[in-house]
Amino acid sequence: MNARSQVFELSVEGRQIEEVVASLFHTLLLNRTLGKFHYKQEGSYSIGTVGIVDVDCDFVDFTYVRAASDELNENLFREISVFRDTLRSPEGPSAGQITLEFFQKKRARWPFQAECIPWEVWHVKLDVISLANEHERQQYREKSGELLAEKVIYIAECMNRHDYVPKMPNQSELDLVFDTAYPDVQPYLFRISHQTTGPPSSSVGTTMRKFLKDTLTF
Amino acid sequence: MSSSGKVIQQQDRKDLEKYTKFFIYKTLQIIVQSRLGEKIRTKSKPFSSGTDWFNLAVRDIPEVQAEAKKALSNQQPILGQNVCVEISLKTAEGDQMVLETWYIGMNTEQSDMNVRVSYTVYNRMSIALKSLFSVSRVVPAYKISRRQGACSDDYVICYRIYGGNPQFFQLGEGYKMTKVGQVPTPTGTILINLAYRTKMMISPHKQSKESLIEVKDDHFKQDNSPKRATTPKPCSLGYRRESVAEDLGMVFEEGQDSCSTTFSTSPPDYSQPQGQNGRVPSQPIKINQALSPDVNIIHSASGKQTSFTNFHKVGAFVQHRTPKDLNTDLEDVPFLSLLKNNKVKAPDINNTQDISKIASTEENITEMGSTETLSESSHSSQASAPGDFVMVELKTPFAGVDANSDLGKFFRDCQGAPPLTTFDENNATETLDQITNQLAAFESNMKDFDDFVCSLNESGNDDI
Repeated sequence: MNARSQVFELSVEGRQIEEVVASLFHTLLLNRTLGKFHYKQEGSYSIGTVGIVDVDCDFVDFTYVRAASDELNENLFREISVFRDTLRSPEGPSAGQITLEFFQKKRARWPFQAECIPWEVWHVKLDVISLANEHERQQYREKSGELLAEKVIYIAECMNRHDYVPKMPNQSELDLVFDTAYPDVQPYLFRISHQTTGPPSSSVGTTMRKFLKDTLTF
Repeated sequence: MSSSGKVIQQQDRKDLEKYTKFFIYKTLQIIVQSRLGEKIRTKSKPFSSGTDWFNLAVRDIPEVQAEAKKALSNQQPILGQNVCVEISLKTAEGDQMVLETWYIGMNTEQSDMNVRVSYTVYNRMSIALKSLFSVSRVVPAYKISRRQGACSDDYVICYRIYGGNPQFFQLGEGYKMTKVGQVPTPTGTILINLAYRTKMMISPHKQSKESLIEVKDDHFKQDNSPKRATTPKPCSLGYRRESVAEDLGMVFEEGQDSCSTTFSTSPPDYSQPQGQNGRVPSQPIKINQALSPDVNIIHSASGKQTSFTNFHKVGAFVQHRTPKDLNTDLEDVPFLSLLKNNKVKAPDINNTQDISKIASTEENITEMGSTETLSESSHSSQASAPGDFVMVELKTPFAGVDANSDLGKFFRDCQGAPPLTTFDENNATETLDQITNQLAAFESNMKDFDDFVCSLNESGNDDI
């Protein structure tokens, strides 16, 4: 099965990283989170209620809506903050990509672990920029808000195509589709990963340049 | 089970009608509540209650519900015509500008015959509503509505629900259209779309001048929409979190219409018939009849008098004050009001915290009935509309309701700082007069000043 894949590319200031990623991922997760399932008997279940929380960003002129679950929020921010710290470390990489992947599990024969099959993948590619003064930062704060607004509208459009999502499982297979670890909500199984790419490491870069220069000069 | 072939089973049709009806109600609630000017926070619950349609915690404001019922009452079948919500901005001077028009419609040419009504359509409706939540926060009107009550030039965001074709021409040139959600069903695809104004200065001080088209009250008559529905209602009519239906323990009269939260692989058995198609008496939005002579009076289609002061400034986190708190001659000296306000503010901080506690725990069995809230807010607004001066609500940036958002809120408040009252256009002539008088006074005293300067010179020379 081929997973759907989408890429968002954005240039952000270092201090915006966390909020930009959180606003996109939370918007996605809101759509991919249901209330808790309670099975009554086989083939019959009731679903809990998902609460709604408005979140104002500090460094982007933007408000997003997330599912009301402190645990889900904390988990998401834990993942994002690692990515942020990597990107913001001094002389660290100036660009990176963080990925939110929804997957379902397929049971495998003992002793193998369950196989994870992704069905929807969202990449956020960030390019970290630095701005000269407060005026520029203010302008960029607003501009980032507008860019995020476009992305959120696009996400809504994608979600309303009602493409494939895993079927509602039987009780025994609930864990193969949903993350049941949260006490209040039930998101589809997801994981977050990131990778960073930076300017070529200075030693290698300068060596190569020197080498080329030396070759060409004579 | 799922409808096989081209015919939709009767039970499915019934369910679909019921889901569609509540989908419209919830859509309207979400839209209006997104323009209240406050942040929404509802809790997730492992077990749904009867009012949690589509597995989403959306509170119902009774007034909006009543308006929605009116709009739907003459629809046969449901979504036989579009249901529209118009969000507009109304200034203290009575100028109006339509900011956006949301409309829910049905495209009967696109249907999904194979989809299961019982859960799939229900779930798709839930996703469409979630998209609605997200999108409603990212369009320009959201930011404007959040600034309600925070600026000296006051305005209020109003909504109007009507049936029929959406009226785009009021959105000015270059308005944008956005698809928000769509729900394919066996009888057609339900759509939520949005058209919104793009040409406006977000600076609220200019908006009153941008009212482009005068809208007649009976403008939408052609669409059979009920006359009274054409009067825009303020989104936040003094409603705070504590006033919503769920928290007040108010249950809608249609007990049989609570949602089913159990789904099964077999067709659900609804023993109770679908009823309540008839008109439901709407709750009148109470208005303050005693108006001071200097306020703008708008004659609504129904002949009732409404006034801007009735919904004057009920921004987020504004306290309901008793008239005696405000019954001072604040308008005489503009900046004196700030000092006054500070004094009033001190005990208020505690109140704010109290309210936030109540709101966050959601256990507020508030004894404050909705009517009480209403009348109280109208009292205070009457007292706080002293002609040309508008009281600035001082917000304590670090003692807000939500500790996480304080900094951001403070930051935004700084950005959208109100202009000095002295430079307000209404005061301009007064200020100019004052300056002229002052100049004249100075001129007449010129000789004294000259003498004084001379005396300084002389005394300076003496010292040397």
